[in-house]
Amino acid sequence: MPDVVTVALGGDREQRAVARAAGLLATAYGAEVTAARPADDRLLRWALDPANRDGVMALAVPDDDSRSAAWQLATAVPTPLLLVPSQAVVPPRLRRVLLPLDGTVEASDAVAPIGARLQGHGVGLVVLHVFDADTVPAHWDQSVHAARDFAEEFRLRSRLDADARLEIRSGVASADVLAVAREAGCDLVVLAWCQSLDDGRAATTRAIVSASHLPVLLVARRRATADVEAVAQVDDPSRLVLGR
Amino acid sequence: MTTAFAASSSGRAAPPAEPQPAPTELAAAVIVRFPDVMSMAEQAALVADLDALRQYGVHIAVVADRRLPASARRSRTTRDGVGGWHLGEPGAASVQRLVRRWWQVGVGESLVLAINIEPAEIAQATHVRATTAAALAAIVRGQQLLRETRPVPPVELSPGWTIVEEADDRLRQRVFESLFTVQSGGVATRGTREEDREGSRPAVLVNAAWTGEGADEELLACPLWTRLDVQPPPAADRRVLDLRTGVLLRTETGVRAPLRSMRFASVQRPGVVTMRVEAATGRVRPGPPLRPAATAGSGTAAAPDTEDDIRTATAVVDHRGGAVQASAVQQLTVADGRQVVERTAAYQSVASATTTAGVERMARASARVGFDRLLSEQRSAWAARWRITDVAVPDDPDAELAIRFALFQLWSHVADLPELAVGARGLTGQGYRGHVFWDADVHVLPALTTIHPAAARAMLAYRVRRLDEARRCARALGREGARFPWESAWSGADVTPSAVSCAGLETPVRTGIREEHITADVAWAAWHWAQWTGSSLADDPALRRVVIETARYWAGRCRTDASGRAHIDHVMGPDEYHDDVDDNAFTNGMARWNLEAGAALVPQADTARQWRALAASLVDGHDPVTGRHEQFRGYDRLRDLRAADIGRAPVAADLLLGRDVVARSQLVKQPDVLMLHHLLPDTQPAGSLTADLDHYVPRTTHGSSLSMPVVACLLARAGRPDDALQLLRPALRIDLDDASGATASGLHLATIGGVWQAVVRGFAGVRVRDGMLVVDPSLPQAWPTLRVGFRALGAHVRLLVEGGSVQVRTDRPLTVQIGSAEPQPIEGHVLDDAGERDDA
Repeated sequence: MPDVVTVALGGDREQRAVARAAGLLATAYGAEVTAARPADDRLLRWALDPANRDGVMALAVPDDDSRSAAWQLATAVPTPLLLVPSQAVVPPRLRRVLLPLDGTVEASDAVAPIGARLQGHGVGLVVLHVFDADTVPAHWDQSVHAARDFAEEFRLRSRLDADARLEIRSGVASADVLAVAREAGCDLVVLAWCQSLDDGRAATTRAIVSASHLPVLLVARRRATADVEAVAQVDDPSRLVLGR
Repeated sequence: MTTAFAASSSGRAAPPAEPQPAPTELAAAVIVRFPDVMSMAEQAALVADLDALRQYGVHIAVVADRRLPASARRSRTTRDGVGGWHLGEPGAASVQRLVRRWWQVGVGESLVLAINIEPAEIAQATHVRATTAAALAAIVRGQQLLRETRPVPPVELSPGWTIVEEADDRLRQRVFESLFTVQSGGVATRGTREEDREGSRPAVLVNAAWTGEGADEELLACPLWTRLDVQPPPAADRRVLDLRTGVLLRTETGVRAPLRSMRFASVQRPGVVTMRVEAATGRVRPGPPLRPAATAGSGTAAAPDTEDDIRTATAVVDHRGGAVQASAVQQLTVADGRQVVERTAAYQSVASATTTAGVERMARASARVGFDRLLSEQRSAWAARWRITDVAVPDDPDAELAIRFALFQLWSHVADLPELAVGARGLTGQGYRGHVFWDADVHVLPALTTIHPAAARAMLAYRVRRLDEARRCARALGREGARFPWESAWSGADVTPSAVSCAGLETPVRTGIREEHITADVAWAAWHWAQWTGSSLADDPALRRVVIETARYWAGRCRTDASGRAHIDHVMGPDEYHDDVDDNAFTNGMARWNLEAGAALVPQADTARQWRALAASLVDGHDPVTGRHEQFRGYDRLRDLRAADIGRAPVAADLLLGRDVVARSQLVKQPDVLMLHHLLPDTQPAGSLTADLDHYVPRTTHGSSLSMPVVACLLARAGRPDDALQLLRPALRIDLDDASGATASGLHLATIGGVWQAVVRGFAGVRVRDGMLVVDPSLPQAWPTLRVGFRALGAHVRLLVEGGSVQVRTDRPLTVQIGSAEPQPIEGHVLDDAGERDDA
């Protein structure tokens, strides 16, 4: 049974929100919630332990500062992170989650197991794909047929359950994610990300988290095992500026 | 592997056999030079052995410089090109003649077993030596024995003729299922692997077999014949589609005893499909030979692994116009640690299903012929196709292969059927539900007319048979004549969806209501077919009726204003970014042409006069000052956006910017004004092609997959072949690279047709005008040489364009105009003359 570990970051209000969000997810997961202090070495060891790869670390994100403990932790540990932005309102129940997918195998492989687990506990899935200037198809012959054929192929490529609702939009991904989350009445956003903030990467992820009215579950796209081990070896817990 | 054969066919004491490396693959042809020391009796025995091999469809050639037994001297070339028997003299020239002859029956050098032949004379063959009669007999019998074990035969791995898939890319799994579709006689099998795989989309689709109602009417999923249960399934494989023979070969990689399979749709026996699968014993459980489409791959029922187990199955599924009947025969052979499954199935679409005896007979008869002979037939039949229509671009092998792939798909859709319904994806997938659009009439049909005019005529028959429904549609709108639907399926009623869900909103789809040019497009297809084939519309009552009734529709559709000018309001041209416009240049231009064509055929002189007058008064948007057409009234006042302003092209600009933004701009989805030049080049004002290209090409986003080949064709015609090739290249790769992201649901058949039109009508500059072949090539620098073969005016034509010269060869007299030279009659030249080979 995977655990959800809350990390005490931020003030009382933030920590209460994190606890509520963690409880929400744990209920949907059928997991237990454990509280941890950020400076506790055991926290990082738990996060780096491959046996806990299905666990979730929950913490508040006070701002978009990439040097914050929340983002540093996010880039360092392989476990999914449940981030609760300061402006987010934790919903009372987890009825529906939004899974934005960019159509890559890595993204769908990252979030599909979580989606399936949530579905198994009666949570509805809304999958969103946003076309932007780089990903918009070259051709879109007849809108009805093209949309249906694209959706069918997208489902198959992403290994989506037939019950998952698929939304396709054009525009700016970060804006559409939050707009669709509101329209579809979602309670959580589950986002696959590259787990790197170098060279301006993860701009969409950070934009979503910084503006989200909902908790966001970040799941690292699959990394090679060697990469994960390297993180575990290099990242000395004491070097993480937790609780700053 | 080396094996010592010891065999004698003479019945007398034979000298010890020489150890020979036994060829482990099946030869499609055997060329043998008799050893010097060989009695007449030994020779006669060997001829008998070779003759036995011929029964499997193997081509035999005997090279000798001395007297041979009477049995060897008889000419035994079969009419169907299967199992031919040839005699030749020793020497390179003789051998090369045989090589060319075999090429013409689909057998390449690498499939030849050469016994006692100098390697230099046939370099790619498998060579063996046999200096005694016994050794020679052993080798020949070795081929016989090999056939009895039924291995999967090889294909010639020529890079110019094969599409290869080696990487098992999850994202491209269904793309290759479309690319590897095998089809003949209006029956298509997607290239899905034999075993069940997550996410696969297997399908057997049959021409004009639809199910469902209205906009949901779709191609019927027919029973599947390729499914097997394989444990463990191959982890990696290599698949090769041989365009030259229409065969799909699969070889598992990374294991010692690989699973191998070969399948094809028999051209010689339309509707018949067959496959052979070999694997280690116990690995394949064949299961029932036919499986329902809906439960494909469930693999619940499995056949016992008994030797020589033969199973048959028959299935019938109803469609709108009757039923598809399928029957399959399966044979499982287990021996020496190997198992071989052979499955042969037959499909036919019938108007009323009273008995399945016919389709069962087809399946049984084909199974009796045997896989090896069916394969030999297949090679020969496809080679005959490539003799009619082929392309060679020696300096651009990538383009050459892609054009051949296009031709392969066009040929695959040829069928000798009363009507051919060619949907947007053909029969390569269920995308676009198999609905028939204008794609068929103006993009595919002209291409098919150059390949197989009878099949193109069958496409017209699809429209002719739905003329009454088109009349009903016109009547329902209060008009006379016939109005064809934008999307059509079984009945000919409009099956266009009326709305699309976009961003959570239902947006109306107006193509069915507004894209009325389809009515003139159908008439144009009939006229074009008649022009290109040298037929007369006046002598074809069915096509004549189509042209007259569509003209009658336009006569009632036009509005004449107070000044006497005629207009067509509220339409959508091919540029679907602007979906409710007045006086669309393309629609008006096509309507004008339709009225004039109808006037030439309608028997009533008064009607003809009225139609001609109306045609003359129709506004066409041409501005003598700018020299170009305005796409529709008010187009020039829209925001002047260019494709370059929004980034890359091709791009679906409506998705990227939103429908409202593109509707308020001059961005064009696909040729609209330019389409007029494509279809009716002779009726456009002088100089307008260049002016229209200059204006519209920068504004065209190519958001339609139909767009690029048309513009490429026009650019070539306008003397800009390098620009044309640059635009054609993405179209050549649209499906091979899945450039649209939609190939999984089927191939873009209109693009494919457009590619071939761009080659023939664009770069080769071929047109038919007033019963004359006009050739005015325009080659890009990257193509110093272009060879094409096609059909026109009832003739087989071969064209060689090279170094500024043009050579035209035909098999019957034709009047040909090259460039601006005076038209000249040329004498016919028989292309099929033995020994000719135009691929060198």
